[in-house]
Parts: sequence; C-alpha cells; structure tokens
Amino acid sequence: MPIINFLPPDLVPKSLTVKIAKAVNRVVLVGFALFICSTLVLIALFVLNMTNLSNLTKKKTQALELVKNNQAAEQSLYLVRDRIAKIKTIQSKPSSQGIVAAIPPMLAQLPGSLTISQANLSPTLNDLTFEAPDSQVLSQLMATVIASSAFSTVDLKSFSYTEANGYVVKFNLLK
Amino acid sequence: MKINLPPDIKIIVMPLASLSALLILGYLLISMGLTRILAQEKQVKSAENEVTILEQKNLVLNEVTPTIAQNANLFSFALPAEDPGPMIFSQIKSLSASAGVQINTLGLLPGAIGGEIREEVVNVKITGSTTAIFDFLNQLSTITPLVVVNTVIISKDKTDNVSADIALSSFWSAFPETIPASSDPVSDLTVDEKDMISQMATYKTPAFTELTPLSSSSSRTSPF
Repeated sequence: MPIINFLPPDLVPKSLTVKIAKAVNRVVLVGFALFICSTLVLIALFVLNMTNLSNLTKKKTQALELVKNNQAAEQSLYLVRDRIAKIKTIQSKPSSQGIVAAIPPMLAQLPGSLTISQANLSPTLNDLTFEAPDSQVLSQLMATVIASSAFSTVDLKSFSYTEANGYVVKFNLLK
Repeated sequence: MKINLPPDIKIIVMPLASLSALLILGYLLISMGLTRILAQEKQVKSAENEVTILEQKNLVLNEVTPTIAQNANLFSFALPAEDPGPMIFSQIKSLSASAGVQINTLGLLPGAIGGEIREEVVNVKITGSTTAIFDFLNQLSTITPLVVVNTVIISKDKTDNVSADIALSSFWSAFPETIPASSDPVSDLTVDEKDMISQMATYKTPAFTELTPLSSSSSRTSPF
C-alpha cells in the first residue's frame, strides 16, 4: 500500500537533502567502524611494543652485566688495537732494515775472501764497498750483484785496483 | 525556547555533527595514538640494536678472553708506555752475545721526538765479523721493544777488524686512559690484527729477574 504523506510540503525536507543526510550517515557509520578497528589495532600494538620493550630492557641489562664482567678483556683488546695501530705507523717509517736483510743472502753466495771494507746504509743511500783479492772473485761479485733480485737498481760508483787491497768496487744498491 | 529550524537543516544537523565528531576523534587518534606508537617502535628498534651490539660485543670478548691478556702484555713490551731505553740496552747486550759481536759503545741520544708516539735514538758501536754484524742487525728486527734501524756505517780498519756504527730509533707511547662506553660496539680481530699478534708472539721479549722482597724473618736491627 503506498505511503501517503499528509504533512504540508514546506515541512517535508527536500529529497536531495535527505539523500545527502543518508550518505553522510553511511560515511559516519563506516568511519566509526574504521575508528574502532584502528583504535583496537593501536592498543594491540601499544601492548605488544610495551612487552617487547620490557623484554629488551631485561636482555640489555643482562648483556651489560656480561660486558662489565668482561671489562678486563675489553681493556686488553683496546690496548692491543691501540698498540697495533701505532706499531703500523712505526713500521711504515723509512728504515735500513730492508737492505740489511738483503745483504747476507748475497754474501752467502760469494767466496769468503771477498770482504766489505765500507758500507753506508740508510733509508735513502746504500753504498757498499767490496774488496776482491783477484779477478775471479771480482767477476763472481759482479755476477752475483747483477743477478740478485733483491735490488731494483745497482749503480757502480767507483772501481779501482791496489796491490794491498786488490780490486775495490763501490756500489750503490737500491731495494 | 524552542528554535524552529527548517526541515532541511534539521535532517542534516545530526549526520554533520556525527561526521565532525568522527573527524575530531580520527585526528586525535592519529595525532596522539599513532605518534606514540611510532615513537615506541623507534624505541623498540633502538633497544634491539643496543641488545644486538652488546650480544655481539660479548661474543667477541668471550672469544678473545683466553689470549688477550697475554697479547696485551706482548704489545706493551713491543711499544711500552715509558722510555724503553733500559730494556733496549738489555736486549742489545743479549743479542750481541748470541750474534757474537762485541759492543764498544752503547748510548741514548737525549731528548725525545714526536707527539703521540715518542721516539729517541740509540747509538751502538759493535765490532765482529761481517757475518756476525749482519746477523746482529737482522736480529734487531725481532726484538721488543721495537726498534727501527736508521743508519749503519760499516768500516774495516787496517788490521781487518770490522766495526759498525748503528743508529736505531726506539719508541714509546702512553697507554690509552679510557676505553669506549660499554654500549659501544667491538669488532672481532681482523686478519691483519691476528697476523700482527702472531708476528709479535715470535719476537724476543726482554728477560727480567724478579726481585722478591726479603722475608720478615731475616730481621735487621732497628736503627732507631
């Protein structure tokens, strides 16, 4: 049966207004449901985070306690690292250690009659003067020095012969 | 007093009021609740990081604990906190005996150079065979406190005696006074650091005689 409205037309709201009101009501309803859901999710997250935070604080306290118990080891480790860094700086300083280490293997290949009469070793200059009693030892010296892979540059600085000392050869060797 | 509102307004007032209330509640939820949750998340992440760092630190410390004290001792000999002059003298004397060279002079150049790493020069004059001199020089790179060979002047006199004037650098540096905060991370020893520790373990440390105090039974007469 059709509904008959007996109200005067000026007391009845316009159909467009009714539609808008209904639409707004629907939006409010959906929004409210979303609001409730979001609130519940946020409360759940809050509780979860609080629990996590409390557990983590306990773990942190325990771990800090262990670190404090290991403090002696930490101090030693810190000292070792500090020394290593400084020792590396020291080891990077220019020194004559390289040339000093390279000479004995070379001498080991030469006859005992060959002598070093003078040596001036420094990080920038390595002058070595050899005395060879005869030409055979001299040629052995030349061959050994030239063949040695320990030196990047071999510079013959002087060469002389005296009856007392034999052949006197001065080299400048660079590592 | 009753206000007679037009029917169009009457019907829309409630939904609009509800919508406004919902918007205000939504704003409050976002501005207060969500902000708080995000701050909490940050706190949780930061706490997780701290716990991870501390656990990692404990793992590293537990791993190094058995040997680190001994290594620290080795390194404090290698680069001591104070002038190592006496220790170097002792080492040089011991080396000269093992290499078969004779020490003619042994001295320190007064004054220290440098800032964080302090350096002083040790002058040594030795005599012996060429082989023994080079043996001595090469052994210098295997002793602690560490020394660096600066210059070597070898000369042979008319009687065929070979002597060497050696200038060495010795070093010392104050120990660190503080360690980083407990919460700071500690990384495991690197391969380079482990190599350096192994290398240092092969070096000769100075031999010391420990002097023990006299026991109370050996009484001395009181001078007072």
